[in-house]
Amino acid sequence: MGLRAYIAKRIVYSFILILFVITLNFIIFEVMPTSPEDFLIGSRKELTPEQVARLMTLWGLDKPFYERYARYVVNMLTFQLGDTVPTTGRRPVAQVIMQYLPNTIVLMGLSTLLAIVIGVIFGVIAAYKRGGLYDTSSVIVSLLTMSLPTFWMGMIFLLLFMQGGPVHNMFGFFFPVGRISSDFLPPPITFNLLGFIFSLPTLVEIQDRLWHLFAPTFILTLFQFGSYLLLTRATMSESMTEDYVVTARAKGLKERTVIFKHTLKNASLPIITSVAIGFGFMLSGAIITEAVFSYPGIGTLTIKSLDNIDYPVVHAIFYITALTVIIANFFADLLYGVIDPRIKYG
Amino acid sequence: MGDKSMTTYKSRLSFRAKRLKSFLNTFKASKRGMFGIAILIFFGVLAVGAPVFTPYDPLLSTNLAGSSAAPAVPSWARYLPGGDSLSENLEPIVDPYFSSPDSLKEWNISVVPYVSNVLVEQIPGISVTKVGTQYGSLAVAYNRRGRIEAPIEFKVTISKKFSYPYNGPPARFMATIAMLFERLNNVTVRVKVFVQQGWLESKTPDTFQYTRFDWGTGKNGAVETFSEATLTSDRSYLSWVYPKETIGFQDPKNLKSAFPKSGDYYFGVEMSFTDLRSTDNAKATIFLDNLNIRLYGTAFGLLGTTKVGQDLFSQLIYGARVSLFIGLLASLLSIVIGLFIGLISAYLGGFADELLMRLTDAMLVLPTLPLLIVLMTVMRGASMEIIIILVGVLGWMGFARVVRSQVLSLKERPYIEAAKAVGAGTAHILTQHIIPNVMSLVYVTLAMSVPSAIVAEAALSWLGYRDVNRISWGRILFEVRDANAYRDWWWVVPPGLSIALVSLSFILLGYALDEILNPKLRVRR
Repeated sequence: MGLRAYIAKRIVYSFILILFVITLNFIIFEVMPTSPEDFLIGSRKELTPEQVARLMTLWGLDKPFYERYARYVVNMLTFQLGDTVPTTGRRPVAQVIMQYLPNTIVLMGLSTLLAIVIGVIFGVIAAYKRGGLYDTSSVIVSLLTMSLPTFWMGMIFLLLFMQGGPVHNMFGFFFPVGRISSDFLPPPITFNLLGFIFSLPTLVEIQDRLWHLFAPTFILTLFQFGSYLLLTRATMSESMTEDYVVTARAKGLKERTVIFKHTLKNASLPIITSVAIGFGFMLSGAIITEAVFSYPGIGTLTIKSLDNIDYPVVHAIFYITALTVIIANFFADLLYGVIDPRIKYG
Repeated sequence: MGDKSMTTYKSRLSFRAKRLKSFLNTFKASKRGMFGIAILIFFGVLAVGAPVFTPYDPLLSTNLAGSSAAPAVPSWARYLPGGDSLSENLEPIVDPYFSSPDSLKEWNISVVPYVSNVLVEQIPGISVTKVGTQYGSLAVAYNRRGRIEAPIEFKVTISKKFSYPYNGPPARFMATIAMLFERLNNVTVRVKVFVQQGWLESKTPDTFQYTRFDWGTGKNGAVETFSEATLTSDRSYLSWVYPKETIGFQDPKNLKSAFPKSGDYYFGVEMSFTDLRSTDNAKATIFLDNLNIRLYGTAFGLLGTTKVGQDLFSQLIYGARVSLFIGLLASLLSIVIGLFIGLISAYLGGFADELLMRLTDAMLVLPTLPLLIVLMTVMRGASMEIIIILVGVLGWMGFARVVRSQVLSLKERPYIEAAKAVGAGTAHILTQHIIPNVMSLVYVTLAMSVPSAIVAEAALSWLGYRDVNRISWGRILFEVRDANAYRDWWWVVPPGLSIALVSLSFILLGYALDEILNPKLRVRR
């Protein structure tokens, strides 16, 4: 099978996965104790039967489930995500999500990137100094930070660094929680260049955003770097015993060249795939951390929507998070196929 | 025949015992494994023996110490720098229900000025608040026969001196008194309950007094009534059930003014009698009991208290029960499902294999936490059982894959072929040859997957999807968040630290088991 057929197969496979996710989403909300009818009409006793019937027709609830399912699939695939419930203002779901999504992407993108850099660097060192104190302690630290609940790490961070906490009292600085305070910021600088209007955030705004970003980024980096460290360490120590490394050393190459050019390069394949998969969990990985710091991202939105029984938003978030994972997995497979010449597509 | 099977049974048993012994010996040599086991045994003992280690219920025992504004810190914090102003619980009154004649000995009773027809005595068997012959009460009786020229006024004071050993004030205190006014005839009584430093005579106008209420006869003469009062340091007034009156009393602006320093304090009740002299005789009998004061400290127990005064040590060890139970059972469930699916997939092969593996892949794509949250919402109300089932059902995929690949390789081994040649059936081969060979994987994965199950439960609890009747480590942290008590280190640190320690020890145990049980699977460790 050639590369093209391989890609085609992966595309079909990913598409089936997307359908699976949509179906699951549909089923979960279909079998839940409160049916859509109860949920939308339930307590509104003032409605006459005719009005109820009209609403049922309007929402398509009078149709058989397979017809509703087909419509649901099509709507999801075309990203027609509907409106939020009346209690939260009937705004388009897509608009609500777009308001929160960039914050999460910035947060997770930054922390994942940092985690990869730190994890790989320290993993290489751990593999190189194998068996020593540094190796053991870095493995234990990784295992610990991986298995600790992020919300607890966040709470400890708050305990130390919150406004009025011990660090604030002693050293006079703290890290804020909550919303990016854009209301209090100077307006962005807008300028016209060749007919296009650009808007740049002011320095104060960037500073403020970074300040709010620090705490959740720190915690998520701490949480994520361990798996990259352990993976790098494992693959590195495996390839360090390979014959070509011995050869490279025997040639008299510099140790740094041996480590980075010969060992790491050959060990990088699983790391690259895990990076791709890691980015897949970008949206779902930050839920709890965002909740700890009240960071206005997808996680906070999820919890808020569940509190408001805003199921359309929850549907959409769940769909989009799963979609991210599927797409990331697709690229991971693709990378695997493209990078490693030894792999036969199949 | 029976004899023979007996000997094979015995030899089998001794073989197993030998194997177990050698396993244990190897295990003992593993430092990491022993460390993990030690911590797990520690938490296991705490969890199992929770009722022995603490007298308090983790959720229902409230108001143990501290106040809602400031939960109590651990009592060992008194020995830390800056901890010398902390106080602990103090219950100076030994017998508030006057259950024996000796109970009068702890009270100092005075009648000023001296009036001969006043009698203060302990009455056994009659109680104002309690039912039962073991309780008594204190009776103050005044009885005048014959006319008098001028009104008679006197004060009966029942007080107890107690020593308050702490430099700082208590977090709050609660003083109680229950009174029964019987046949109050032509007498007015003012009752004052007090807590103060120094003796009564030396009190200045700004002496700290907690209550002041008047009770007297109306024109009707004899009135029989019952009153009970609880005076707390954080209520500015209290209402009486009988008679229906609201009696205000001074709110302690600052407990520091009530308990400025360590030393001797007095708690008691002062009854000011005024005989109105309007008739030939006058009479008053007052029964009182539950004359008590409890001082709630700013430090309590091994780990302090929550905002509502629950003991955090009790919560931690009862929480260990729930967290460990959920963690173990949920990962056991996921292991069983994974084993089953992996076995079937590998053994049946073909279409079934393809289908099951695609299902596994699809399940792996689902973001676990959002799915868990959505399912919890859909389930309406989280019970421990639902949490176990959901966490278990969403965690089997990785293990199913591992089992499948292991079984695929086992299937081609010569001894399986030999078994087949002898005519062994599928069931026999699976149970006798395949499953025993994947059991080592089961143990290792079980140990490795408990932490993620514990953390998943903790995350759900922390988000509020918790079993309301049970306390778990995640729920303790949820309560922190709920009470916005992020600053209370004694509340935040222990549950998370326990999760960390238990997770780490399960992982270490897993590594140790892996090294011992799967020497062949190891790739250059």
